[in-house]
Amino acid sequence: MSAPHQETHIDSTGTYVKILLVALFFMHVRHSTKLTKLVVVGGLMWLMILLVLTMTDFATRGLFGVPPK
Amino acid sequence: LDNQSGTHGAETLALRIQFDTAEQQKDASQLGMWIFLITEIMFFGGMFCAYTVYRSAYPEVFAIASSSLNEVIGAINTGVLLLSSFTMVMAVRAGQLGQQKMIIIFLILTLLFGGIFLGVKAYEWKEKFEEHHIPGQAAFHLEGVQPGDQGHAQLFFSLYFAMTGLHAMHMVIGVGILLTLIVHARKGVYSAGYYTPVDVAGLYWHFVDVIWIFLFPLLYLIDRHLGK
Repeated sequence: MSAPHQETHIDSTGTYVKILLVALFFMHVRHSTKLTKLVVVGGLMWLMILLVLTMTDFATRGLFGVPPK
Repeated sequence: LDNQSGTHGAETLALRIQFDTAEQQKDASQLGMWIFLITEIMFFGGMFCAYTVYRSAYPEVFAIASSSLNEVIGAINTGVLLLSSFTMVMAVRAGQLGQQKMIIIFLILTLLFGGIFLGVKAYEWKEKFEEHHIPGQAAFHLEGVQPGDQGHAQLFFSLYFAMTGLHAMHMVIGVGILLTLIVHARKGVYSAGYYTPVDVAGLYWHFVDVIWIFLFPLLYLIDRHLGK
């Protein structure tokens, strides 16, 4: 609880390479229509909004001297 | 049906009356599956978000709880699932080539690997019961964690069971889909001209695989050096 703020590390390289290979080749995004590609990218963008905006709250609590509850 | 299809001739599985070409129908099916998968990404996204929030709040407890999971079994299961994704790709390829026997063989292999994954998962869960690592259990106790932090350890295991449970549920649904495909494939429904159901079921199966590729490092491998 009182620990210094921890960076969130994912075992990045391995994970993202695997995801990329599965999406591009197994799920043949590479050979899909432009509309499908747009849907995939758009969906990931919404996921980023979900994660990033939530963390702007939790990661910045107490930043301006207002003690967190 | 003959009246409705008019000048387009008789309706087939590969070309329903509302589509101009078989290509258009196939694209529409794929797009539909992707839109469903996007809703699934948001669905799982909520859990990943909860995980991110609580792990950043209690990093040490999460690291200790994470190290209590068996990473060797987890890694083997990851391999099994990736293998099942590969056989699924081969089933789709057999569809493209119109090899009806091979479609069935690869679908059965996919089913087999999916079944092994679920069996191993069930064994892992059983272990958690024996180790008293079930959140909400009166006897819950995680070794190496202060009494005041046991609640935070329960939080990790709540997320562990919710996320792997939701993933396993998707696997069970996937098994149902595979069984349906196998029955249809045995009837000779699929050919080089029409294998869209195998194709979009493949998209779903790979998606479930991708979720696990995220779950495995997040739950099993995170900050293992801190937990020791």
